[in-house]
Amino acid sequence: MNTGYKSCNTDSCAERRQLLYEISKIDFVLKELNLYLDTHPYDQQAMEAFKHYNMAKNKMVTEYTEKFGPLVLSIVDMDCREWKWATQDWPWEGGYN
Amino acid sequence: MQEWKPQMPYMEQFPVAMAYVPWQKNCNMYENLDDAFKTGTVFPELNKPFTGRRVKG
Amino acid sequence: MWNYEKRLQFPVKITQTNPQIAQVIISQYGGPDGELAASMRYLAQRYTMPYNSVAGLLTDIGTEELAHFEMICAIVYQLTRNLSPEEIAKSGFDKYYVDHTLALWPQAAGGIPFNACEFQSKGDVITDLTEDLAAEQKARTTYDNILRLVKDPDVCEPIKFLRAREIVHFQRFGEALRIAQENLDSRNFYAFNPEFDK
Repeated sequence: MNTGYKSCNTDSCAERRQLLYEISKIDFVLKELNLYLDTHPYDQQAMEAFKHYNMAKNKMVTEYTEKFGPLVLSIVDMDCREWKWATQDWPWEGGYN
Repeated sequence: MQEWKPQMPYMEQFPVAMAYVPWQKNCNMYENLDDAFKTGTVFPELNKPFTGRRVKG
Repeated sequence: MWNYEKRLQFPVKITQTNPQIAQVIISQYGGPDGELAASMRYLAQRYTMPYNSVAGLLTDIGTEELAHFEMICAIVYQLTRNLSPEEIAKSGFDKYYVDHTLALWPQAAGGIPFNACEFQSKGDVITDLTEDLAAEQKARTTYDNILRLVKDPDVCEPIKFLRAREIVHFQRFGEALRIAQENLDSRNFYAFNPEFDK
């Protein structure tokens, strides 16, 4: 039977899904570089790549937070009417991620 | 059965009674990061998919 | 210490429930070769690891495994969401359901609860890294076994991703063992334990 996963087909949903996918993809590259650097700690090229992707990810996370809601507690857009960190859906629901 | 002859320089570098995994030398990344993400690694050299079938020949 | 990012490492969006396959996949949560065991193993071994970069690797892979058991839990949660009592009774999932309803609880597919006996932190550099190499292969084999049984592409995609991570981790632990070897006397790697002997 259907899992009841709430699919959303508006433009805003599609933009949110796409941005979250891009963040996950870049963060994955960062994780791979992180593990590689743990065993290759003097690889300058890898460190430069890490720096580049880290800046890209931070920029995207800030954009996502402003448009849709928080992903990390260290970047929370303080809209004092609602503590979105808790009230928005959680990722295991399968909505956006 | 072919007799296996140890190669001395190899054995000097890799003494017996120990396990060795080769260093990853080919550190090229996938150009298409969508492919890398879906595959589960950014390094094509580390992509070893499961097919569940023996390779013939 | 740990922070949390409110997303899964790789998306999990399953539209069809399947309690039979959920019972199998739960082994990668609470089973002996699952992601929770892997995480606890590496995070436990890191404290006495004498080489900083190896302690770093154990921390970073241990942390990634936390994200992996989160994905496994999301898969099992979505595969069993909104099940009716009839579907539960028919699928064999009733044995798990009676004690846990639809909640996640770490156990192996065969029912053995998660416990610390399922992993080791032996306190010897070579032993612990060798254990970690084996752990990654065991996890990879479990994923191979799961892939033979799963047909739903929504389930296959995250499982294939998790399987690929095991092979990468194996490579990194292999490199960590090479780092340890470089710090030891190759005439006799076993003369002493760098985690203990002076």
